[in-house]
Order: sequence, then structure tokens, then C-alpha cells
Amino acid sequence: MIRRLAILLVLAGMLGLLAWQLQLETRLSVFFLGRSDPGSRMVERFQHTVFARRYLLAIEPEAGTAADLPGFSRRFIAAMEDLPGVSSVWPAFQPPFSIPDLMAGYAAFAPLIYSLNPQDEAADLFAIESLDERARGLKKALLSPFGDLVQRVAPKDPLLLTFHAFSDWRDLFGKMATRVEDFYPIVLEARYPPFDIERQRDLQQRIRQTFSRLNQGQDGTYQLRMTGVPVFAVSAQQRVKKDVSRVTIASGLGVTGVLLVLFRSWQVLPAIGLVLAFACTIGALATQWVFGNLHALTLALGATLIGVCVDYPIHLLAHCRGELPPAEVAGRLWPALSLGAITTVIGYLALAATGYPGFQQTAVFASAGIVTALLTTLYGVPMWLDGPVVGGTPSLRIFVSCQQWLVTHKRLMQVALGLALGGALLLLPRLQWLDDLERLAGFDARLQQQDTELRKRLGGIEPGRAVLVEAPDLETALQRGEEATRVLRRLKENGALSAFHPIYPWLVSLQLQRENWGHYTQHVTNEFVGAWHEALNRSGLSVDSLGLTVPGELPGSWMDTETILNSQVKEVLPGQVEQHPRKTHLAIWLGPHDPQAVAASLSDQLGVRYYSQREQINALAIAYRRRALLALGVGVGVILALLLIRYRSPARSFKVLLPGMSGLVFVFACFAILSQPVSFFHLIAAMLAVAICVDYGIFYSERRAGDAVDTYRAMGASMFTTVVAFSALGLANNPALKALSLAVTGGVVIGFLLCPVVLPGDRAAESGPGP
Amino acid sequence: MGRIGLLICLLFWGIRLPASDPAGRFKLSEPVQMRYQETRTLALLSEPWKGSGYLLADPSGTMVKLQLSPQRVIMVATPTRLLYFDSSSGERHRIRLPTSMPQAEGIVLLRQLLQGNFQPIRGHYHIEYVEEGKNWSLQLLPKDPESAPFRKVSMHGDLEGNRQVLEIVERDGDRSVTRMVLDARGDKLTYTIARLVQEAAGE
Repeated sequence: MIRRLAILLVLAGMLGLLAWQLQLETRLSVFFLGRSDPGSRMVERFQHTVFARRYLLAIEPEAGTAADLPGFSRRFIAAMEDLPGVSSVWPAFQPPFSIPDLMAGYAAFAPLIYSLNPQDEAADLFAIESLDERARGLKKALLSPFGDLVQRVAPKDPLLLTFHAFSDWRDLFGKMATRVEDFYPIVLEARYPPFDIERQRDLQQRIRQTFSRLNQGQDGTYQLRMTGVPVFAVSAQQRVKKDVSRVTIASGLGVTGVLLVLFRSWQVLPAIGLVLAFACTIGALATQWVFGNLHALTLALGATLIGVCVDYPIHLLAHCRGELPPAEVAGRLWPALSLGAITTVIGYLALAATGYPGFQQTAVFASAGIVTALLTTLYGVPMWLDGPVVGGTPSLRIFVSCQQWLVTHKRLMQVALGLALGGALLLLPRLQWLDDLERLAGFDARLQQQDTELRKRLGGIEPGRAVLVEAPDLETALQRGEEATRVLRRLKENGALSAFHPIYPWLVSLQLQRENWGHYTQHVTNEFVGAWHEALNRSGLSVDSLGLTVPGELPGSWMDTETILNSQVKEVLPGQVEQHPRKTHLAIWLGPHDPQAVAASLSDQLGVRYYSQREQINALAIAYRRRALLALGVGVGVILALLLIRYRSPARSFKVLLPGMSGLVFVFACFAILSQPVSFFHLIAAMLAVAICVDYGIFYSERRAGDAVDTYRAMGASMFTTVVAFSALGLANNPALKALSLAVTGGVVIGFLLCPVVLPGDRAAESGPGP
Repeated sequence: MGRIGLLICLLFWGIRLPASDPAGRFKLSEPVQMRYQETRTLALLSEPWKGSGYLLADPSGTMVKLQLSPQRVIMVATPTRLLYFDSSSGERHRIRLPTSMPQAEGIVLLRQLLQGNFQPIRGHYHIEYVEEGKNWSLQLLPKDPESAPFRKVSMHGDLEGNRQVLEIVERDGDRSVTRMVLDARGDKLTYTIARLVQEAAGE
């Protein structure tokens, strides 16, 4: 009793430590994409700017158009202003900062910023023969209902060069003017960080409740659609949480049920539960310590560990029938159990070798868990048990019958296996690869489609796609950004790009300012000034207010980019400028575009590159697949090497490995027949199945504590629990977890069934170490 | 455009008989058409600018300013949109309402006036309405001149509603004076509002 209390105290201490230290991560991108490359890091940082706290809401009539849509939307906006957690809310076409105010502030710097290509454009911009037309245009603009900005710009910039500088942005602002009878876009900025899931979820509920309340008064005329980083974050967390709870509950209940059916005894449950509790706790602690957090999906995958770790105590308990004390039984079993554990750990380490962030966590979790399960089985369980285990022998007679039938028809089955293997191998070249990581990650397709639709209607940027600029300092970065902007303008003219958010002319490099000023002073001569004044007179415009002076050699001052960066301009460029002590990053967001054309056009630009999260992700998936194939090969090779060391017989080692490898081939042949695309998840699952099946091969081959029937029965119990645990993964909505479930369960069942067919029934016939 | 809106709204207020509660005067019961002459004095112009054409409005709140001289321009204000179309150059603008553009803030004021909704107007303007003999006058003085688009809005006309003069002084001192004469009403309008709106919208 004291020993049991001590064991329970140790377990309780570890659980307490875990509860204290655990930081659960639920972001799908962290598990599936990681954060290694600079583009991903920049996109991730962007996701933490104020921009990421913004929701994009769209109110639309349920059908057709509605004349009162603007009125209803404004009432909705007014109601949301008072909601807790709302920082500000505004119609998307009416931002909280005044673009005209900001642009008017640039008028004084117009001679420094007017052109991105002054060498090519200055001659046209300052053509004396065009001055009459420009003066007439100026007058018309002053008198138009849109003349306010011209009135503010013209006294400082009579030639209206500022508007030429902002031509890229003028197009963007123009896109905001669309029909309002069928679509009213609203931007809502939350007070909370985008990944403060609990509070963001509450806020989303409040928004929906407010909308429903108002919409009821309109007989449900309108519908509300919502997108934004917080919407995705909340959705992802809910999906992951559902998957985790579904998998862990199903796995736990399933394995418990199987154990009760197999052993027909409650006595075994605490001993097995002890092993699993230690394995999962140590696995979670090790992951937390290594990575600083534990992803919820790791926990879901870790739940399958139950099905693997449970093999060790099952094997021990199956042999504790009273002839020997449990400690002695454990002593006899440890070589086989240890080899089995090592091969399984190799399987999981192969996961880590792919470099895939989620699997790295899972590998640490599983490796620590398996080693803990082994040690607890060998030392903890014997301490826990007082004597022989009642009902210790698994009862499933089906395994006995199965084993006997397979042994009886061994020759026939071997021939059948050979033929089937040959056929399956021929099918393998037909395998199709799935390298779309977004599909595998199971991002909410409905939300993604909604996001695309809403942003398309607003003519906004494509999330996750940008031109990234890197330079040692801001000046160099701006120069490189300007060069990239020239390329993007050409692409826009060619139709390969619909819109983009350049840094120019909000920030302009000193080099370009000098260039602009140089051309300005060359063209704005006495003759030019005189011609301009005459043009003003002919149009009835005031020379006193709109006249020019001949510029001196140097401007009054250069435009100071650092000062501008600290002004309200940063609201216009959210997440687009990032400065570090020795590095500056710029991002130019892109509207709908042709990725290949953009990437190709920028390929020779120094410090500039096209970044597409989707292409990056898919390239990553291909890399993961190649690494997974390599890991599979290396993993199988290492396992074979260990078997060779253990058995000193290539034939026996090969036979131990054959059931698992056959399972792998048959599972993949099935995928090929069914035209089911295969991802690196399937490869990794196959690796796990091989590692688990090698355990069966070892157990069946060595049979250290009983005859072939008893061993096969114990193996059947292990297989049963493993299959139940991995089947539970199939209940998850996440496609990657489903893939793992299918491949592992298929491989394990086939591998188990093939052991009596491939491995000898008479141990004496085998060479190498015996029991 | 704000001054256009105000002009039209005040114009039709002037058409109706003065009442102790001016709100009722803004409810148009039928479309109307006015001839106008506008003189604008801007600091950036060396001499005042003159334009002329027709102002049209209907009870739904749509207003059209059809400028015929010096060139043809259509400006439309609806509760949700502001349209501009210069037929000589083909230049076209369209903005949603509300907007932060100062000129369009006048449209918001105009819609409130048209609806006879004086509550929000009184929140921003002091309203002075006087009838004297056969004439009336109205003044809107902003409570916060710093944020109001107009420093002063005044209008006067005859009680029969045939002639009105609107004067608007903007924040920067620019001034416009518009003289209007009732031209037609009901089904006797020579221009079709819906067609002008379509033309301005380019539909």
C-alpha cells in the first residue's frame, strides 16, 4: 500500500508540475507551417499588428438589393460602437484617418516625391506646352465637388505633382466606390490581440447578437458575414479543441473497453492506467520544456500513444500468471520490450527528421512517453502489483483461431503473400501525391471562401501574398522597394497584377528625392515660371496664390522618413515597414495577381522577393514529402540494423521486418487502387506502422515468456488497443489526422496478421539468441 | 457639393409657404425644377466664376444640379451616393455617403433638412428663421465653426416661393451666391431626374 501511495504521489507531483507549466497552443499554422522562413515570420508579425485585430464585416440583403441597407448598416455601426471590446468601427470606404489630410501634408514635398521615374517622366510633367491645359484642369478641379483636396494641395503644389506621386493609391481609393444597395462593408477594430481567443470569441458572439437584434426589427432582411484573423483564430481553436476532446475521449474509452473485454478484470486497469498516465505526463512535460508550449494537435496525436504504450504493460500482465513474481517476469521480458520500444522511438524520430514542426513536437512527446512507459512497465508496474494478476491472460480466442489457421495454411498463405506483394508493388508507381498543405491542415474552407469573396469585392489585398524587401537600413530598403514598385507598375499595366500597396510615396528614399529635385530644378526655369503664370492668368486663376518661384540648388529640407514613420502614416501602412538595428523589412501587399509573372519579374532584384504563403506552404509540403520518404528509408534501415545486431542473422532480421513492410506496401497499393492522393502524412503513418509491426515481429519471433499461441494472443491484445487508439484519430475532422488513422490502422492489422505467415512457428529452428 | 445640397434644400424650403415649424416645409410633394445662376468667389481664382443651369429635386430626396454653362456637368445627390459627370471630358466620380469629405458633410445636413429632421441639425447649427412682409430669411450658424464645413449659410426669398438667393461662406472664406427662379413643377419638368441620374452614373 505504501509503495502504491508513493507511486501515486510522484504521479500527482508530475501532474501538478504539468498544470503549472503547460502552455497550450491552438494555432493551426504553428503546427502545420512552423515559422522558420523570413516570409512566414513577416506574415506572422503582420498578424500581430493592429491590422490583425480588425474584422471585416459585410452586411448584405438576403436577396437582391435593399434601399435601406446604408441606414441599417449605420444603425448597426452605432450599436457596435458601444460593445465591450470594440476599439473603433467604421464603414470600410470611410477610414478613420483622413486620406486627403495625409495627402495634403505631402504637397510641400511635391518637388521631391512627384515621380518614381523622374528621368522618364520629367520632360512630360514639366512640358511648357501643356501648362494651359493644366491650368484649365486645375480650375475645373477647384470648382468640382471634389475640389476640397485640390484647394488644399494647390497653394503649396500648384502643378498638382502630389496627385501624380499618389497615382497608385488613387486607384486603390477609387475601388472603394461600389454599389451600396447590395453590399455594405464595415471594419471593426477589436481592443484585444487577435489570438486572445476567449475574448475574441465573446466579441464575435456580441457582434452576432447585436446584428440579430437589429435584423429582427427588419424581418430578417439582412445577413452578416464576417472575416479577419480573429475569426480564423476562433474557428481554428474550436475545431482543434473538438478534435482533441473527441480523439482523447474515444481513444481512452475505446482502449479501456478493449482492456476490460480482453482481461475481464478491473485489476489490470490501474496498472495499465499508471503506465499511460506517467507516459502522457512525461511526454507533455518534455514537449513543454523543449518547445515552450504544447500544441493541442500534439495532444491529439499523443493520445494515440495510449495505443502504443499500452502494449508494454499488456505484454507484462499477459505473462504474470502466478508462476513468477511480476518483477522476474519483467526481467525476462525487458530485452524484447526494450528493442520494441527502441524501434518505435525510431519511427517517431523519423517524424522529427522531416523537419515538420508539428511532428517534431509529436516525436518528442511520443519518444519521452514511450521510454517512460517502458520504464514504468519494467519497474513501476511490478512494484504496484502485489501478486499474480487475476484474469491476466487475454481471452480473445479469435486470435488463437486466427494464429492456428494461419500456421496450418502457412505455405498457401506464403504463396498468396508473395503474389499479392508482387501485384501491390506493381501498383505503387500509380500513387498520386497530395502536396496541398492547406488542404491537409484542414483550414475552414467555408471561412476561406468567405474571406476571399469579401476581400475581392473590396478590391483588397490577398492575405499571405506580398513582395518582401530586405536591406541593412531604411534608405537601402526604400530604394529597393522603389525598384520593385517600378516592376509592379509594369505588371499592372500588363494585367498580371490588379492592385498593390506600395510604400512609395508615403516614404521616399533620399536618393529618389534628390533625383526628383534635380529634374525639378532643371525644368522649372524662369521661362517655365513665366509660362505658368501666363497660363494662370488666361484661366482666371490667382498668380498670387498659385504662382511658382524658380527653385534654388537645394530644397528647404528633405522629407524625413523617420519623422513620417512616427506620424499617422503608419496607419496607412500597417505591418509594411519593420525596422531592426541592422535590418529593415518592407512589405508591399498585393491584390489579385498572377503569382508566376510576379515572381519571375522580381527574381533578379537584389533584396526583393515575391512571397506567397500558399506557394511557400506547398513547396514546404513537397520538401516534407521528400524528407518523409528519406526518413522512411533511413528509419527502416536503422531498424533493420538494430535487428541485425540483435539476431546476427540477415534472414531472421528480414523476416521480423517483413510483416510491417508488407503492411506498408498493401496500404499504399490500396491508396493507388482507390486513386486516393497520398501525402507525407501517409508516409509518416506508414513508418509508424512499420515500427509498431516490428515490435510484433520481435515478440512473435522471441516468445520469451510463453508459446506461440500465448504470444500471439498478447500481441493481438496490443494490436487491438493500437487499432482502437489510432481509429479514434479517424474521428477528428482534421484531414491529416484522418490520414494517419487510416494508414496506421491498416498497416498494423496487416502486419499483425502476417506474423504467423512470415515468421517461423518453431523457435528452435531459428539461429541467434533465444529466451 | 454641400453647398449644392444646401442650396437645393433651402430652395425648396423657400418654395413652400413659411410656417412656424420650418421642418414641414422640406417635405416635397412633387418634383420641382429651378433655373439658377451661381457666382463663386474663391481665393485661388483671380476673378469670380459664373455658372448657370437647372436645379431639380423630387420627394424621394434625389437632387440634381444640371450645369449648362460654362460647360455641361451633372451633379447628383441621393441618400447614399454622390455622382459627378462632366460630359465634355467624360470625367466621372462617384462616392458613397456618408463620407469624410467636407463637401459631402453638407449632404448629410441636407438629407436631415429634407426629412424635416431638425434634431441633429440643431445639434450643430443655430437656426434663425424670420418672416418679414412678403419675404423670409433663414440662417444656419455652426455651433463649432472649426469642424463645420461652412462658416455661414444664409438664404432669403419671397413668400410666394418664386425667387430665392442662397449665400454660402466656407471655412476658408470662399463664397458662393446662387440666384434661383422657379421654372416648373409636377409633371411639367423639362428634364427627367431619373434620366439625368442614369447619365451621371453611366448606367
